[in-house]
Amino acid sequence: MVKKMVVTSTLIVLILAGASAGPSAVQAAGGVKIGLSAPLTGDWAEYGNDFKRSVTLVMDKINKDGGINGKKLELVVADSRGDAKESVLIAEMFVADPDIIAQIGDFSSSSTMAAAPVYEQAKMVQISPTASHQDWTKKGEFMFRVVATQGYEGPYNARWAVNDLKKKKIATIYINNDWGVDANKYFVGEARKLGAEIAAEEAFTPGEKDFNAIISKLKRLEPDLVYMPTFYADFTAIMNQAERARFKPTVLANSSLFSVKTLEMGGKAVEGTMIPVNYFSSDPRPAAQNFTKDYKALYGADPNQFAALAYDAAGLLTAALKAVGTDSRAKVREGLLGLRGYEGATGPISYAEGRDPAKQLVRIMIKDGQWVLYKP
Amino acid sequence: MRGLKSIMANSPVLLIIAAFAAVPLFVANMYYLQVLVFIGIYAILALSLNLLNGYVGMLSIGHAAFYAIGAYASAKLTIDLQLPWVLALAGAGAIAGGFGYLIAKPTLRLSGIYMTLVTLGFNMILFLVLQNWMGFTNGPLGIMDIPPPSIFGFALGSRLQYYYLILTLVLLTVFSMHRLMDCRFGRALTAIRENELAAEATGVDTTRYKTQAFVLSASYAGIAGSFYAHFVKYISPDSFTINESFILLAMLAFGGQGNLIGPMVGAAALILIPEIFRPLLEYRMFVYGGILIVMMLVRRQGLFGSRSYRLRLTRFDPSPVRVYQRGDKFLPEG
Repeated sequence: MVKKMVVTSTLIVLILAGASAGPSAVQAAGGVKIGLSAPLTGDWAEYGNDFKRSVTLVMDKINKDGGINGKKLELVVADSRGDAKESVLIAEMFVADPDIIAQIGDFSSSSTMAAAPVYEQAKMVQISPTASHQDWTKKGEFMFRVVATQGYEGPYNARWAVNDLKKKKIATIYINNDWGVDANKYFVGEARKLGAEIAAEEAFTPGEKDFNAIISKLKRLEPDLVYMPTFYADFTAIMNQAERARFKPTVLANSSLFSVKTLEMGGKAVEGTMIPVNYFSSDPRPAAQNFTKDYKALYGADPNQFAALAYDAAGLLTAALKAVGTDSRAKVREGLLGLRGYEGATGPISYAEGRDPAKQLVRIMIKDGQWVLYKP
Repeated sequence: MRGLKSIMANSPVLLIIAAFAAVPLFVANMYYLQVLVFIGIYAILALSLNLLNGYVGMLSIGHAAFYAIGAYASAKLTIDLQLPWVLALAGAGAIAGGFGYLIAKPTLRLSGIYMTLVTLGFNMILFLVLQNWMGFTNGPLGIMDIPPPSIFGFALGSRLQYYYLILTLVLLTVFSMHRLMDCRFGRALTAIRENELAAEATGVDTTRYKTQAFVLSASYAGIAGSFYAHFVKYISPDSFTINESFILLAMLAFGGQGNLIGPMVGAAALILIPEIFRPLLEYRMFVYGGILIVMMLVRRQGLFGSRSYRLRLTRFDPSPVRVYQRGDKFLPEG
C-alpha cells in the first residue's frame, strides 16, 4: 500500500512538474517568437539537432545586433520525432500562440505535409529547410522551400551525366521512399530526353541490407554510369558489396550522401563518387565561408548541409521580418516573396519565381578518402 | 435534484459524456482540442485491440495494419469513387473487416505465439505493399488532399466539428462494444479467454467466435483509420509502421485490458505524456519510457486492469450491482 502511494505520488509530481514547466520559451517582453518543429528524437534526431543549432546561431546573431526593429527574437523549439501526428499537434500549438509569427520545419516530407493545412489555414509561413516532396509547396500559399528539389537536382544530374561526362548507358539504384522515387523519376526523364539509354531502374526498400541481386544484375548489363539516389548507410553497403563482387562502376549520386559517414563506412569502395551539393564547407563563396566560420566558432565542428539549409531558412525568415515588420503573420509571406539578392550559405536564393527556389549546386567528389571540389 | 442524484449513482457515464461535450465551451486553445481529437482516435484503436487482446486473449501485435487499411480505403473511396464520407466510413470498416476475415480464417488454427507472429507479419507486409504499390497507393509519396468529412452535404471544417465527430464515434464504439460484451457473444469470448477447452466443451464454437471477434476488431480499427485520413488529410505509409502497433499495445499495457475503461485511459495517458513533457525537448522520451517501466514494475496489469468495470450504460436500477471477478464462484446468494 505504501509502495503504491509512493509511486502514485511520484507520478503525480512528475506530471505536475512537466505541466508547470510550461511553454519551453521564456516569456520575453515585447518579443517576437519563431517556431521550430524538428525531430530531436527518433530516427532523424541528428538532423533535427543540426536544425536547432543553426537556427539558434542565426537568432543569437540577430538579437546581439539589436533584434528586428528593436524587438528581440525568441525561438520556440518542439520535438516532432519525425512523426506526422506529432507535427500536426505542434502546428496547432504554434498557431494557437499569438506571439509566434512564422514556423521553420519540419525535416521529413511526410511530417511537413501533414502539418501544412494547419499553417495554411492560420496564414502562417511554413518554411522547411529540407522537405523535398514536389507537391508540398502546391498545397497552399504559405509553404516555402529552401532545398533544391529533385525536380531540379534530378535533371541537373542528368545533364551532368549525359552532357558533361558523355555517358550513354545508365543504370539507376534508388531508395523507395518519397524522395528516392522523385529523384529517380526526374533523372531518368531528363536523361532519356538527352538521348541516354536507361539500362535498368532498381528500387530497394529502406532498411534493406543485401543488395547482391541488384549488383549481379547491373554487373551483367555493364552500364557506363550508375546513378544512385540513396543515403549513406545504403550507399556504402551497396558499394562494399559491389567491390566484393568485383563490380566497379562510375557512380553519380545525390547531395544526400554528403557526410563524413559515407567516407568512414565506404572506405576505398566509394572512391570516385560524384555528387552535387547545396553546401560545401570549402565552397569559396563568401556567404558559405561566413557560415562555416561562425558555426565552427560556436559549436566546434564543421557544419553539414542540413545545418546550412536550416541556417538559410532562418536567415531568409529574419530578412523577410526585417523588411515587413513583425505585426502580422500573413505579411511574412509577402516579405519572403519580395526578397531579392539574398546570399545564403547554400547559394543565392530568391522566391521571385515561385516558392521552390532554383539553386546553384556545387559539384564535389570523393578523392583519396576526402570530399573535394569536382574537377573534370 | 433527486433525479440528478440517482443519475450520479446509477449512470456516472452520462455525466462524463456531458462533461466531454461541454469541454469546448471552456477550452479556448484549439491545441488542447486537437490533442483530445487524437486521444479519441487512439481510444477507438485501443478499444478495438482490446477486443482481441483483452477479451479473447489472442495477442495481436500488428493492429496498425487494419488502421492503415481503413485510412487508405476511405481515402480511395472518397477520392477515386467520389463516395460521400459516411459511405466511405462504413466502407473502410467493412474492407478492414474483410481483411480481418482473410487473416483470421486460415490463421486461427494456429495458437498462441504463432498467430501473434502472423499479425506481425501481416503488418510488415502491408507496410511494404503501401510503400511499393505506386499505382494504387502512390507509394511513399502518400495520398494528398483527402476531402474533409461531409455528412449529408454538410462539410466539416472547424476543429470544433471534428471534436464532436470523434466524440460521437468514440461513444458509438463504447456503447456498441458494451452491448456486445454483455450478450452471449461477449460471454463466449470471456469463456474462451479463461479456458478455451472448457468453453469448447460447454458448446461454444470457439473458432467461429474468435473469427467474429477478429473481424469486428479489424473493422473498428478501420473506422479509426478513416477518421484519421479525413482529419489529417494526408496519409503516407510512414504513419502505419509496426511502431504504431506497439504504441497501441503499450496503451493496453498502461491502461489495463479486459474492460472498456482501461484502453481509453491508456490511450489518453500515452498521448498526453509526450505532450505534457514537450518542454523537456529531447529528454521527454526518457520520461515516457520511465513512466512505462515504473508502471510495469508496480502495477503489471495496468491502471485499470484485472477488473471488469460495469459502465451501467443501460439501466437505472438502484439496487447494488454485483461485479464478478476472475475466480468468483457463480453461486446463488444466501
